[in-house]
Formats: sequence, structure tokens, C-alpha cells
Amino acid sequence: MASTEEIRADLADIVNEVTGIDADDVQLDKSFTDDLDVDSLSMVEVVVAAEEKFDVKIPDDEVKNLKTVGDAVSYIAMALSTSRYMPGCRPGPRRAGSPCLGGGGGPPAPPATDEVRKR
Amino acid sequence: MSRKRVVVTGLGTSNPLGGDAPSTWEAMLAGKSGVRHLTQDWAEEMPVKIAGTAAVDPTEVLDRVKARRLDRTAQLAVVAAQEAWADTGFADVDDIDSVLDRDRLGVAVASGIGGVTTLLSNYDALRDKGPRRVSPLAVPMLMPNAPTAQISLMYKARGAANTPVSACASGNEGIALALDQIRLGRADVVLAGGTEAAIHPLPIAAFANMMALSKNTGDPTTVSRPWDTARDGFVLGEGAGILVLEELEHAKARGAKIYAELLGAGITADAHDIAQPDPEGRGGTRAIRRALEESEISAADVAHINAHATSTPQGDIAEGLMIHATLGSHATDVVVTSTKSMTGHLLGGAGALESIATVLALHHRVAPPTINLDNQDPAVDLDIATKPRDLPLGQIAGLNNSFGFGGANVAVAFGSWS
Repeated sequence: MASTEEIRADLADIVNEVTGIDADDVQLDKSFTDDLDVDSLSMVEVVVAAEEKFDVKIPDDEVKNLKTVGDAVSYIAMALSTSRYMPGCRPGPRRAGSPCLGGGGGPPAPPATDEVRKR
Repeated sequence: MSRKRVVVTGLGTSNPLGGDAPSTWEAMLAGKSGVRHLTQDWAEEMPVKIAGTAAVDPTEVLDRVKARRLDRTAQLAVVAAQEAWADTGFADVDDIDSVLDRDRLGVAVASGIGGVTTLLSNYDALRDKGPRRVSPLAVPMLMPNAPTAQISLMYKARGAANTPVSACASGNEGIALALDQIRLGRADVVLAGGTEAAIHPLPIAAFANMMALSKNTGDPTTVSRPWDTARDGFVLGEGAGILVLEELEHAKARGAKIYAELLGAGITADAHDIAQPDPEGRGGTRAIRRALEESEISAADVAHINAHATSTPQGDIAEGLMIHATLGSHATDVVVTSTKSMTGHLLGGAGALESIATVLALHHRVAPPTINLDNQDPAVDLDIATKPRDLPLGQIAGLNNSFGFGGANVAVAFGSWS
């Protein structure tokens, strides 16, 4: 199960890619619109990229509730509890032997710890 | 009341010969070619594997985040606009609002096709990954007025933001529209020109299938050969040109550097065929004649013509007929050139880049050459410069012609400034 910090860090990379905002500024208490100046179209880009990265669905109706980075991280964590995301996995078709169900380019399978088995 | 005079106070371009105006001019005088082999994988199966690709990739110049929000058409236009704006000296003024009313600052940047690569890459995403993956920025990136709008945003230009679309005449039409805006008193300054970035398999296949592109598989630098007997079609190019046009008294009041005067323009339609030029060039003749009349100059004043001449068998001959029809006995006294021999055909960017070349020719008193003219077509009786050619001193004028599919014809006339 991905930690809050792992989700935040991956999301911060996406926000940086889309908007150029320094990934270090993308902290849980920051508002996308008021603090990070992410406009509505950029927010759609961030959401779609996050869906691809984390292999989750974020319906348009939910996006308006994601005021802060923390809101988005919580939503993604909640969605992941029913999903297959692993930190470090990249988007793309699954490769045989990869633990990354949503992404074939990820790292080799980690040891089968209890945490992994729980998923 | 005498009519307003319009001068050129800034130049900017990014094109197959250079990433800015000085390097482009230097390459033109050296007779260099910007036509290259296409190295992309998709080029393998194309009927044409060469193009005039931008000498400096705009993504190397622009901020990463800005670049990813712009179609390449707008990227090239923005690079050109930044250079042209810097060239005007506006950015060096401490209190710019004291010398420039943004409500009277306009933009008129044309494109022939618009953001075609954004359209097609988003279609690929739709087909391969589904509707969710279509970019929310697709429409503001691909719309034809995106380059104009981006430049308006950059410089807070709140006058008219025009985007004329007339195929390969578009760039000149942008300049002609800007002239009108200033002459009619609606604007003091207009960033005008055109841009295109259509080097993609679909436009290449389409132009090739309509028999417009050269199929010559020899050295790419020799394929664009206007007026040569071995010409067999144009070479696709990409790039942008922006000219800052300014009302004369406005320019004088701020002590602006002036390259040349924009004297007049003529816009006509052939009403002959959607793709073929009128074989007698009647529409182009009327455009040139109107440009001369509006400029209040005579045939004897014209020292230089930057021709449309794209290296097609029919079009190059028709333009020769137009020049004879309009300049009469002076037709062979004029130094004519086709810089497309070096750049390829920039479609909507062509008129703008070639207007810049015309302005610099008048400014430096030297006409750039037409390269690859080994055997001049006997059907074309023109004095074509094959080496840089000195232009006369004194007050002279230069014409730039552009003709587009759909029968669009736009000629613009510039006068030397001293």
C-alpha cells in the first residue's frame, strides 16, 4: 500500500510536469487554485495524468471537491485501497512478471511481504 | 486629411534557415538551403522524405511548460514575436504605457492550416486510449487563431486580434490586414505575419497526392528550384515571421528604428479553380496592380520582387506573366528572387518570412539570391538574381507576392527608408 508521502510525491511530479510549479511546493495543505495557481484546464490535465499514473478513476464530479493537494492525495489513497497501484510503476500495458498491474515499466517484483500480500 | 503612413519597426522569424532574423539573412545571402532529409520513422513510407524543418527547434528556446501548452505553429510564432518585440525597443522603455496604448496594439498572425499536429496527435490518443486522454488543451492549441491569441496575451495587445486564413497567401494577408487597421486609425502598432508547422505524414501525403510536392530524390538542398527547367513541385517548409508595423508618427515620437515603409497591399481572388492557379495569372496581376495603386508608386519605382515562385511547373510561369502584365517595359529591369529556393514553402508562414526578406533587401540594398537556378525556363523572361545583387540607391520599392489554394492572391509593397 502506497504511503501518503509516496502519493504526494508522485502527484507533485505530475503537477510539476503540467504547470512547471516546483514539486517541493506541492504540499498537502496547498490549494490548487489559490496557492499553486493551477487553472481549471491544467487541473483536468493533472487529474487525467494522475488517473494514468495511479491506475484509478477520478470522476469529473469529484474533481471540484479536490481543493487541496491533501484532498487529492486522500482521494487517490481511498481509490487505491480498491486498486493495484504500486509506487514507482509507470503507465503502460502490463509486462509479464511485473508487479505493476497498471504499468509494465516498473521495478522488479519486491519480496512478497505481508504488506504486498494484503493487496 | 492625409492618410496614415505605416513603417516596419521590428522583425522576428524562426524558419529552416535560422532561429532569428540576422542568422536567416546571413544564410540567405550565402545561398544556403534549409531543406533536409526527414529522419522520423514515419518518413520511411512517405512519397516525399525531405522538408524545410526549422533550423532551431522552438522547444529548445521556449520555457518547457509554455511550450507544452502550444501547438508547434504557435511555438514558432511566439519565438518570432519575441524577437520582433525585442527589436522594436518597446521592452527597453522604463514606462512602456507612456509610449504604447495597449488598446491600440493589434495582432494579425495568419496560418494556412492551423494546429494540425495537435489535432492529429489528439485523434491518435482518442483512437488508441479513449476520450479521457484527449487533452483539455486540444482546442485552444489547434484553433487557427491560437498563435494570434498567444501573442495578444504575451503583450497585452487589446486591439483587434485577426487571423486571416488564405492558404499560402495567409502571411501576406496578415500584413495587409494590419496595414488596414493602422490606416483606418484603429491601431497604432500591429504584430503581423504568419506561421505554419505542418511537417507531418498527413499533410505531406495530401500535398504529394495532389501532385504539388517535388518527388525529386536527389540532394535535398537542390530540390527547390524555382524557374529552373528541372523544377517539379515545391518542398514543404515550416516556420514563422512577424513584422511589427507601426504608424509613422507613433514611431517617430518614440525615436524608433525604421527598416522600411509598408506602402500598400492588393488582395484578390482568382475565382478560377480551388487548387490550380489561373494559367494567365489574372488574379495575381490584379493583386499586384492594386498594391502598386494603393502604394501610389509606378512600375519604374519597383527595384526588387520577392516572388511567390514555389518551384511548380505552372505557377512559376504564371507569376512571370503577372510581373510583365503589371510592370510592362520595366519588368526585366527588376531584380527578382525566390527565397523559397532556400527555405522551401512555409505555406501560411511564407508571405511573412518573404516580407521580412523584402524589407531587409531594401534596408541593406541587396537582393538575396535564388539558388538551384541552373537552366532558367525560357518561358520566364525575368532578371532573376542567382547571386546576391546590389539594389540601387535612392527611393526604391520592393514587392512581395503570395498566392494560395482557393485562388487567393496578396501582393504587398514596401518602400526603402532613409
